[in-house]
Amino acid sequence: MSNVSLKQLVKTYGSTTAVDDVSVDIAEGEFFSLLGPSGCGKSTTLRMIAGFESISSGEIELDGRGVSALPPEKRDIGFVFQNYAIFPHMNVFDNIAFGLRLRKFPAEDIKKRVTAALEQVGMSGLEARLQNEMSGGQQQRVALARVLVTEPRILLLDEPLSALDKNLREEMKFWIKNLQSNLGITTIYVTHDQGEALTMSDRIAVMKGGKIAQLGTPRDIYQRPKDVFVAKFIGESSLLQGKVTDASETGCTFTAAGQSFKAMMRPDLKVGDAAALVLRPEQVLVSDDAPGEDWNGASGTVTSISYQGATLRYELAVGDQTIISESAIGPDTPELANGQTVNVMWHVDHAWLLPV
Amino acid sequence: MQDTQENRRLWLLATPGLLFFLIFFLIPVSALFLISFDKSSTGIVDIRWMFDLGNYERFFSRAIYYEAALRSVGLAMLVSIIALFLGYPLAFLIAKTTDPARNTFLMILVLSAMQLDMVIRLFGLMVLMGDKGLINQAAAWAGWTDGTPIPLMYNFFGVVVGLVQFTLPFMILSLVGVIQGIHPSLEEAARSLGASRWKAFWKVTVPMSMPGILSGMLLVFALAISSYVVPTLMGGWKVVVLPIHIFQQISELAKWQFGATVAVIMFLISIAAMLVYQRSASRLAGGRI
Repeated sequence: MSNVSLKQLVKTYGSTTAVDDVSVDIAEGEFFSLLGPSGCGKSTTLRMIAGFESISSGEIELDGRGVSALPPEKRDIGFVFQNYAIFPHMNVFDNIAFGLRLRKFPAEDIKKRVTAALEQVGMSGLEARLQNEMSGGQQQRVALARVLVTEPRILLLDEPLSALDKNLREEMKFWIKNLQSNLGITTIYVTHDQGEALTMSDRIAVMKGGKIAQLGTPRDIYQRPKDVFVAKFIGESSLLQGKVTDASETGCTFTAAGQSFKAMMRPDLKVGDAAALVLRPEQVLVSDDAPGEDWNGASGTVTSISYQGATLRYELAVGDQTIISESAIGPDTPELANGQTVNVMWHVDHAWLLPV
Repeated sequence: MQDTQENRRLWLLATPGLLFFLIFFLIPVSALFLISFDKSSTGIVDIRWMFDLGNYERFFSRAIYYEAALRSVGLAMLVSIIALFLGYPLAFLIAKTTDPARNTFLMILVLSAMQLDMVIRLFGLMVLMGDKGLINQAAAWAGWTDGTPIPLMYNFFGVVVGLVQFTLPFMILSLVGVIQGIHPSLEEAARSLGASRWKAFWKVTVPMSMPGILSGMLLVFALAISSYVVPTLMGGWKVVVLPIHIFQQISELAKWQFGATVAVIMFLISIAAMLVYQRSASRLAGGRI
């Protein structure tokens, strides 16, 4: 049985529709991300699951039980806010004990559990700290401890890392993911950061305009984006515009910039359709050699080279279109020059078409 | 170097205000303080340089005076409590009204109450609450009274109503800003942790409103204890509070020294109240203020 089930969820504010017919089943223990640009309805969806927003139509089921009529305090959820929402009039201990005291736990039990929770988040000994005496990262840990100590069925995280600086964000990303998989708690994570979603999630729902644009594993979404929006939102990509000119059972021929390439066929395309080829920078190689079997090659001109430290990044003109290539700098990395004509290559498995 | 220069410029800009404060507030009040220790006399005030505690002895030895002091304190405390209970829900409503038009409307409603001169507002209140006022006429017409008016004015009740009407906007204004400053996620966090709406309100919103509650109560207390017009008009000289004594002593009996004594005592009571509020504020806020 799925743990969280959203059924044709709709939220309207007056004449605007913030969430438009969202249906998804989230499994027990799954790390599920709602990913999208601001205003795509991801936070509203999360807030409806928490019970902070009413549902315009549809239903939310937690453990197979409809919860639309239940107030937030009866839903057995834990919610972590973007601004952490640490109670400023209480110290760390009282913040974490808040939920336990509402549940009328005995005092010694509360002390034991709070101590254990603080240890779990690496904040032992800071029981007496106040909100304004803690860094953002510490507040985030306290917010998580405060939620986890009540042992909720579902953990809801609303952009929990976006207020942290970059280094700390990277660190917390793995820390939260580890904590989540150790506890095995069903987690719904809202973010606009595709990197976070890709690293942490079991599955991702990419949202746009209140709808789910694509639902899948990080790998699916990165390598097999459903449309141009998803391709552009997740990771970097070059889109080579062209046409499907021939199709067989195993694949198709795609013509762009006056050259033909082998590509994977998708059922929603047929011969004659305009399409775009998605090329991820790291999947595009630049070489003087001719392409091997199962490889596509295009003749291109180097228009720009930039050094990125670990990688070299080329902008390549293929016909009147641009392809970006980025590859790790190794001992045999060729030295290319601006204006040089090269072979731009990518494997057929990476030749993914999008309808345009 | 630059710091001191900027500081000097700031001092220069603040000088007119400081001078005004010094000349028109500090000096007169100090003079009043001085003559409160001077030997009592009748007539045009002058400093006789015959300082003793006679006026203060007189104040604390006569029931009519120290009872007025107790009445004043009780009245001001009562008014600050009533204003809090009436004002908090209203301030909460205004703070949580996100629609800008509605918010402006509610704010204007509160502020307009402050725009009208207090005497005029009190006359309006008298039209409502007098023996032949609207309430009594309506009650008689409906047959709830046999024509004997309900005493709504010229008593303690009337003074309380008048003072609450006068101070309520101040209470609301000091609360609105503080309540607006409480991030909605705090209440939501409490809800998601298992608190009902009511519990979340009591455990998060109210404690976090404490600075506004205390400053509002202090403001109302100070306004109520020092009000002369309201007890005069609404109490009809029957509810004798300290400002009435001050006015009588100085304006009617021309006993400046004793009037000044009463004024100094009232001032000290206000200061004492302020200290009490401040201490309880910092205790309630866990040392955050």
